[in-house]
Amino acid sequence: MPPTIEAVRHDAAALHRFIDSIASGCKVTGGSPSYTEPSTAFFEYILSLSEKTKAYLDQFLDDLDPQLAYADPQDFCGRAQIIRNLRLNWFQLHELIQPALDADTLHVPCALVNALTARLQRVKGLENVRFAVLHTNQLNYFQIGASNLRSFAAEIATIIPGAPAFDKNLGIIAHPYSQSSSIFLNFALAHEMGHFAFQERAEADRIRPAIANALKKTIAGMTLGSRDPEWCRDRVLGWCEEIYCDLFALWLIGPCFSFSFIEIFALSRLVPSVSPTGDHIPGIAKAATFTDSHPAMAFRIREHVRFLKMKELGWWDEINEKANENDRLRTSHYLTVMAEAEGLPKEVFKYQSQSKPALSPVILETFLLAVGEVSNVVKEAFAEVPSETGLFHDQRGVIEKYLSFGVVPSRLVFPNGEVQIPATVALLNAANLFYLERLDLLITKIRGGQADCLECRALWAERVEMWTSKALEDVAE
Amino acid sequence: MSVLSQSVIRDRLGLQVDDRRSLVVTPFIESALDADSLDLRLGHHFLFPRLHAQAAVDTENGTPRSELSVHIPAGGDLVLPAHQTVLGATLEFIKLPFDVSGQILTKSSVARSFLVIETAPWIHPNYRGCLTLEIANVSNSTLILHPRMRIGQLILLSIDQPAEIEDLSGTYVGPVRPEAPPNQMLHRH
Repeated sequence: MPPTIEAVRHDAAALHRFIDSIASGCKVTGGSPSYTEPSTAFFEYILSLSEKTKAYLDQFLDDLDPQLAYADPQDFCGRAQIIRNLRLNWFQLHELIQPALDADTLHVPCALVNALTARLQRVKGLENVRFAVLHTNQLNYFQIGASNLRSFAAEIATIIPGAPAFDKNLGIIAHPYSQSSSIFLNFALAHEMGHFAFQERAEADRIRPAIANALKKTIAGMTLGSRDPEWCRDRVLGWCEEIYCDLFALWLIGPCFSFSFIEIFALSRLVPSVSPTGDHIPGIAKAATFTDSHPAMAFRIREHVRFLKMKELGWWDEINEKANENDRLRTSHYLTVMAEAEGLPKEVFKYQSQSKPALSPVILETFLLAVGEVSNVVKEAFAEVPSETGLFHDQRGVIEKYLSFGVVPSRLVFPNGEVQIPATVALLNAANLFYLERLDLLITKIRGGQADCLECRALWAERVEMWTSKALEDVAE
Repeated sequence: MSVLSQSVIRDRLGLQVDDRRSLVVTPFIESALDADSLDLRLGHHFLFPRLHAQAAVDTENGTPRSELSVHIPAGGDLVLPAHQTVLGATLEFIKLPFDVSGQILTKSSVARSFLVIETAPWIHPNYRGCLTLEIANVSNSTLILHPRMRIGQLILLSIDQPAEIEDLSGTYVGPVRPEAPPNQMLHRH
């Protein structure tokens, strides 16, 4: 039975109210809480879209001929369907609004996001990019696909003439709400920015030829279904994208990305074992299984180390330095995990597809053959962006000294009297390594401070993060 | 005690952080330096006291109280109604030398708007952190405050016989935002 005109009016009015209730929360300018410019731009997009949608609904009802319901029920029904389509589109937006509202400037690591964005903008094709950060209740980071939002906006525009386009330079990243004041764990944001870059720079097109070549070798002589090669390519490309984002993050902010990765997934706490032949098997080998969506964590760490060792970056020698000016050994257990991951043979890595188990070895082998191309693509992306490893080398010791004396390291006085402003990458990595390896130097300077006191460590670790964040703000000034 | 002059302040700013005579002011802008003082700017974070159920605040034993944390980004402003108070902090992070005390004063141009920024102006040697400001609008008009506005002056005074302090007091080491008294139970939102 076709809807009556009264039913359509009701549905349109209900949608009008629904949109109003969403949009009312997006009027955020000029008060408290405050939002970053990209978040404000996102809210303005929603507000603009809501106005257009409501105006469209008004016009839609005006134009709807009540007689049509009787004269041409099918046409009437089709038109009424538009309201349902609009409602479904607004359902999708609805999911993003509250997480965006929760992420005000007190609850987002703004200084870090700004610092990362400033470096990212030096990558060709990403000069005007900026990021709105949303909250998620998952202990995970993810990028809301820019292309998805754009497709969504384009879809609405097919219904509503003149609907605003979604800003192509606006990225949206979700981060765990509990980590809003953290700096060191939020380095994962750099990986999510990599996803945005992967889409915007169409990096898949650069990687696909390597995958195709590898697949040609691995399926030679095999009989496959007609859609199997495509299925394999897509899976391998998905893994390559994850590796791309990891390496992208490493170039963007250096090895502190690896450290946060190890901390988030507690990879340093995997228990080592002994093989039947008596060989030592490092704990990280227990994280060697690929999933449908992601390469194994051990593999990712292995690739991190290989990338950090490249002469263009030269990070590994810097962070793996064995002694500082006081001959004090650097003892980060995270470096041990990384070194062990690098030594894992490829035979350790496993993948078992649930849907196409027979193709599992093919996919893994294809990936292992093709993945080398990913680092070339990342190097190309950062051709004009220095890694800042040299600045880290020069500034690390002084930054550590500031932190160990409880001082924000945003204006560094060197032994020769020279004053330097810390480079972003140097600051993030020096502070992160201080947090990992040398917190006791600070705690022992504090009256009553005890390096073995959990509460003390948590308090001063938080302070180190606050000072790092403040230094990022000062440097940006 | 004598007031540190501009040249002495500059010398102290040029010492390495592990030199106990070093002074740190960051971010530092050259124009902040005057003949005998340093201008300090208003930071971006504020704590507004909320009204609470108790009739009064017990300042010695502590009373549960609540504060609203507010962040004003660059370019924004804070509206402070007449006769209202708010805790703020300096934009500058400061580390005092072991032999220097400090005093923060409201800048005269600010004071003439009947805005008081500091009722506990003395800063001990070795202090480090952004200075918490007890900001009070004692005028009959609403005042608008802009983060990064020059709001205070830091006077530095050398101590004749400074004490040898080896460790740092943990109570207020290194705050970068305004901090409410530690002896009171806080419920921040």
